[in-house]
Amino acid sequence: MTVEQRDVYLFPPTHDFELEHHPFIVLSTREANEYEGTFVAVMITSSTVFHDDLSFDLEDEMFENPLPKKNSHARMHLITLCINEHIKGARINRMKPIYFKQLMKSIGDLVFNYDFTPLN
Amino acid sequence: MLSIPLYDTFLQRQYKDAARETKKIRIAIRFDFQFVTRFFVRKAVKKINIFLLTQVIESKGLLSDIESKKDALLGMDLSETIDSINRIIKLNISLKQILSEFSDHLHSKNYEVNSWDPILEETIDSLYSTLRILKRQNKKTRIETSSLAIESSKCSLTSLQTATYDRRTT
Repeated sequence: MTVEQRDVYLFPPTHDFELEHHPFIVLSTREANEYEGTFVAVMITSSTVFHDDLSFDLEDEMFENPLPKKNSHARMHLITLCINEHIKGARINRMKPIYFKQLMKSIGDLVFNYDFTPLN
Repeated sequence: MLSIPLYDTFLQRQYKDAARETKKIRIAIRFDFQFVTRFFVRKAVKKINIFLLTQVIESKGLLSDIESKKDALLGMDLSETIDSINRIIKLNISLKQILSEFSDHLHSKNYEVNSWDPILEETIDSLYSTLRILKRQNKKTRIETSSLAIESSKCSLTSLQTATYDRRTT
């Protein structure tokens, strides 16, 4: 299974089965993802409780398909190492490059104080 | 430097302008320009160009002003300004989609129009840059570790253990 940068996958909860599955946006490149069958992703939620300066608001137009829930946002500091075999189902969406670039810039700036702008 | 209430007033005005123009464009697309002459289509395209140009200049001006004075903003409550910029970004993202379809439609009817994507992308980029500065300088309040954060860290741990030992240890 090839996991591409900008893909969106559902991940099951690990410690509390009452929690919903959360979608994750893949941040790492395909080359890195293929190396060990793992990838780095950021969590999406529609929670209104946790919506603050570390939230990156997401709109339907930012993706190839509409989002399943309104008021979705990426929690920029909740970056997770994921393993391919734990993915629930198939790819559910894909983020468009221009908005993915803004997401990466925001994560770089606000979470790491680092410039994540790609070379190309 | 503009005061925060002045930034907010400026952003409210910018939002209203963008919302009004977006509404007009939506109406124009709905009626498909069926009952108007090419003269009116060209006039409408010209108005869109002027609006987008004004918007990109205003967004770059705002970014430049906020960037040069960011130290003075540190620790202030900028939440309202952040919300206003988020609303304008949302509107521009929607407008980009609408204008992209409109542009394709005009091309199909043999109108010569340039793509509006680059100017809208520049506006969106400036707005996001402004947003990042404001978020960095905004007054911070600590919150308790959320269930989402616990979930995320557990997921990382499980993945790391599986990748390292090829088995789950928790």
